Amino acid sequence: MKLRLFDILAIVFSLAVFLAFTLYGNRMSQEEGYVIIEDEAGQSIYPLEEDRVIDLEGPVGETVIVIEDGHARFESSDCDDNLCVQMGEIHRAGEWAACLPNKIFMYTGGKGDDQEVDAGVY
Amino acid sequence: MQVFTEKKLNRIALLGAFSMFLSTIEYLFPRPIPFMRLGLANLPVILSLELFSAPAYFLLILLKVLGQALVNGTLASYVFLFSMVGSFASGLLMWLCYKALRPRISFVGISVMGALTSNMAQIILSISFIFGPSAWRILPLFLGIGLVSGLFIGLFAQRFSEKSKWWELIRQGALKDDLLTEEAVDEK
Repeated sequence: MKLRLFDILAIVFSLAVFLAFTLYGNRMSQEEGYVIIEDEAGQSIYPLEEDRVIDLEGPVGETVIVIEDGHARFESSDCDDNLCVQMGEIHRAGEWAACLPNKIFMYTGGKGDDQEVDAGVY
Repeated sequence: MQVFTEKKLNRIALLGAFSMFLSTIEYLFPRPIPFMRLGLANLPVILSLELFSAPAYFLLILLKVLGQALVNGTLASYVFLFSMVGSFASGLLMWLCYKALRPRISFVGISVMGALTSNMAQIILSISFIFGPSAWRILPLFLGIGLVSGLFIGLFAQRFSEKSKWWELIRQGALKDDLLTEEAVDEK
């Protein structure tokens, strides 16, 4: 059995479509991501593309959120159990993490379609 | 009016039964996403390109879709519609590839193109009706799995078609029947 001309073309074409959508998907999720942080003072929105460190004051002390490589996470917090830090990184639309003792809640969103999902969930 | 000869109907039924059997085998594999399929049940459909004219071929695809729906219990759900559209879209494209590109294409290329078409058709449906634009994000996963499984099913189909003596007999039988029916038509 031997692969014929159009077999190879079909495989190359499929591979090209696969790669195109993989790259497209990656770029979409990087470009459009943002994180919304809610604390006692109100709501703030940060893009996930820019790295930054955010210090927040809450009822039990200080909480630090770090945005790095397109991901957001709780770096440290003065709360007892540090569950928020254990929740790890979030980056895909609709993911969330929270530090309840310090009344801080953050979640990630994308453009358009993803916001509808957020509205339904929250 | 008789559309198919009895022998041809038997052959369609046999391949339809194989398709259903392979759906059952496939059902044993865990499935993370509802529409994700290895496509084992496509094997008889691909092979039947060598045997059937268009009406019999598309009837077999209909049997395959129904068989899968019965095995998976999705007959009354929207998954059935997805499966139907994906199967007929890929069936049509595979038919066109077979007719237009033989002998410069084997079952390998046909199977790969079929998997691609089925996935694209289903993802376009899910974007339009169910999940919205976020469905684009699962497309790479589908396409990747589709390419690999399409490749293996195509390789198997090609090898089977070349090596199997049983299949060779069926193929010759089909050819002979076609000749016979043409003669019968001529006599009338």
